[in-house]
Amino acid sequence: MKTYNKVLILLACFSLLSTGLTAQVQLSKFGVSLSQWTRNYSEFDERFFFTTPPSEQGGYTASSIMPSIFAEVSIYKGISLEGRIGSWSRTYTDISSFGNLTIQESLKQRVIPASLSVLYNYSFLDNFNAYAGLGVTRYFIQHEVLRLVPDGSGSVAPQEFSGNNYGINYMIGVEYYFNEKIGVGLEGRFHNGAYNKSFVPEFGANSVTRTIDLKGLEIGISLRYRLFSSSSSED
Amino acid sequence: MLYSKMLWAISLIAVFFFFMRCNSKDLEFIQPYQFIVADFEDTPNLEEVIEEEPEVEEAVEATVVVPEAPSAIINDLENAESDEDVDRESVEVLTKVTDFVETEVEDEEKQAAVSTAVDNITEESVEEFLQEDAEVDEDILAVAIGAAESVDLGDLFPDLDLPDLPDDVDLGEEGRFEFDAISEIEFDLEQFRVNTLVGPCADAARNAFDVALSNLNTQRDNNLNTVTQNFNRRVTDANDRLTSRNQVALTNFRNGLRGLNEFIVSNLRAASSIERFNPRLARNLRNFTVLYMHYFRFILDRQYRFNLESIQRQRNIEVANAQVLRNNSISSINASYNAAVTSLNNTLSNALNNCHNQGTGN
Repeated sequence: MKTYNKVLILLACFSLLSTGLTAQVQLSKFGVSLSQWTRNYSEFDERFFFTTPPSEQGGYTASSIMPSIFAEVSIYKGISLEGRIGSWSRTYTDISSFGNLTIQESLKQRVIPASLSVLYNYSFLDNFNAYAGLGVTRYFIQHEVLRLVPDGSGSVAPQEFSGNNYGINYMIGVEYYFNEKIGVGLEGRFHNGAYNKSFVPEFGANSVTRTIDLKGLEIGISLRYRLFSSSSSED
Repeated sequence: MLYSKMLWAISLIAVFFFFMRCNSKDLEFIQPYQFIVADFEDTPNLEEVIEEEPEVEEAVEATVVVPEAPSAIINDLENAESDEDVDRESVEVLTKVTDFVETEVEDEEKQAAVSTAVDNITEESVEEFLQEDAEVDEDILAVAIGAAESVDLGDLFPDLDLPDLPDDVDLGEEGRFEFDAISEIEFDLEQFRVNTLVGPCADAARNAFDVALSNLNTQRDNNLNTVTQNFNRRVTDANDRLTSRNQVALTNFRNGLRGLNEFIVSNLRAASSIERFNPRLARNLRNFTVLYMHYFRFILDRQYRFNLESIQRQRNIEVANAQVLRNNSISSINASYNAAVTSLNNTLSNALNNCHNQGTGN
């Protein structure tokens, strides 16, 4: 976590320094995007905490469409600072039957990745722009968990839990502008993060903590509005 | 322009604090589902062991049958002041005793031994002879036994009524029971534990089984403790009775010696009394007294030894009965325990079968 903080401090200092020295800082573009973020779990996933966890750990993937909004601030020539926030949701369920006993459990998860990234923009054709960058993401996670035991005791009304953690993202993308202002983009972004979850494995036992992956590739398209071009060009 | 730069600087600082302000936070989760396995709640308890106390019988005893004739003779002689006061029958009987010694006993050494004893008999020598650890002259005793077993003189001597002794029992090493059956049960349980599912439902079933089994073990242990305590108490009681009965037998033996002493002393005093007018009759009386004293002492010794043996055998029988009762009780306890554990195993199998997740979806 301290590593992410250091990166953030460097980014901020770099931005402020650029602001003061170049006087080029200004909003260059903003937009909305729709992406598919597919999370890949190397060990534990959200189903692990149900009454009947998966027999094997790792190898599980979870994919959902994620809407996002973003804005980009030009700092210096092709370098810009992008802020982005999205919302990724998924519901995990488990139904277990033991004789006459049925246990239904569900976990509604919302991941809100808020990232601050440094990009390098590069124009290589008319109206085409490519960019690549990296940044720090803070993942805000909300869980709503419930348990239903229709023919027995032990039902749990929906309970909400929240938490957050940091991660790093890497991205690469291209954008095409139909005119001076409006354009579309295609972007690939890799999330490398995780969050911790503490739970009680057995009734009456002590709580333990497991780390859940947030890593995975996100591919999406975006609609962009450009205030001015900040790309460096072939020229 | 300056306003725009300040605005962006403030925005960047705000974003910076957005990331920096809070530390990361772990998420939590609801408590795990608590499986409650009620299948074992109906497990019946082992019956509390109740042992019927074995009936304690007294050891059979040898009985000395004291003849009446000698007392009648002594009563006759004690008060005699002359030959006229002496019953003729008494004189004849005592004369037969002397004749037996002098004519029927062919061994001169034995005759001499009797004669010497008659010459030297005093109240002090009698008291010494009737000490518990005093030795009996074998020659005189042989003559006395001959007289007592003779047809003519048998009625003058005591008899010993010996009941049948019970057969002695071999207790081995006190019949220690090694609880083999219990070890066998635990081995079976260990085998059973191998085939189990994993997961909270199976764990709950196994926990409920363990609780029920623990209860059974406690009940079995309590029953075994009760049986063991009963057995130890019965053995202790049997040993206490052995000591007590031995003490009674010793007291009876001493009382017999004391009674014999009193009778012999009265004989000697009667002999001294009649010696004034009939020395021959007095010697005949002393002859009888010596033989009677030796034979009676012989009878008392036999009675005492018989009673000690009887008491020891009775103690062994009581301990053996306690062992049989204990072993039967332990067998019964183990049989009940085995049946209950078998039932528990079946219940656990059913519970584990129900723990197979018949449907799941994630």
